[in-house]
Amino acid sequence: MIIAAEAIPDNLSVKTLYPKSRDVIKGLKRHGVNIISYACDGTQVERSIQDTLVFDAKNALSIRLPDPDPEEDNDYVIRIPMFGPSGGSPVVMVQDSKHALKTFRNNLFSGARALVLGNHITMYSQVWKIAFGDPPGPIYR
Amino acid sequence: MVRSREPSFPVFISERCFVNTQSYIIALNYTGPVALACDDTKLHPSLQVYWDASISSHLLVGTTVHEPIVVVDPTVLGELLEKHKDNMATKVFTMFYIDSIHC
Repeated sequence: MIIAAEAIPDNLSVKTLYPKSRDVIKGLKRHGVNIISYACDGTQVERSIQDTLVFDAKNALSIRLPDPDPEEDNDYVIRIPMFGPSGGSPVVMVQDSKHALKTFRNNLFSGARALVLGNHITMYSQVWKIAFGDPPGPIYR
Repeated sequence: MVRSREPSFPVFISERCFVNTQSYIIALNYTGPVALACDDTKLHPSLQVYWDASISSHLLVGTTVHEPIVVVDPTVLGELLEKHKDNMATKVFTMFYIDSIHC
């Protein structure tokens, strides 16, 4: 469902667009609409809006993913802003999930023997396990 | 209510956007999580007049001016078109939501 639309010129800055996004999130929360995520595509301006939403929010959750190397101290910290009445509830920033899905699918089935992601590899057999393994995974069959 | 007499979609981000969404979700009897998303879409820039039933007036749309431009009578239309021809909108900034019923 479309919530809001506004005619804009080509050259709007983050400073002008950020309050629009923020007001829509806050307005919906105020009306009891249970927003849990905010998605946009990967353009510089829209990602900057998300950054501003994350760091300008009064309340936020902080989730720490410890560095797997015990000798290193590069923990990964994710900040999830909270919006809405009485302290708010978390709204996760996401980008272009459909595009990510398509890219992962294309990469996995590209014919590469061993696709490398950081310290791991991804393989067709893993997808097969998610689809047909036990316990069954979330892939629609 | 006859559809054509219902107030049209809000032209600006306003309280009415949220109330519309709220009543839609209540009508669905849905209380689960909702995903919000936004994107721009390109426009063919143009200035148009449309009838807004909620205020019983003709409005000029297609500009980047952030308030309703009322066309009080046909004689001022030319003047308004001339005045706003340099700030025609080139994009629409759209926010929408997805719930798990419609996924």
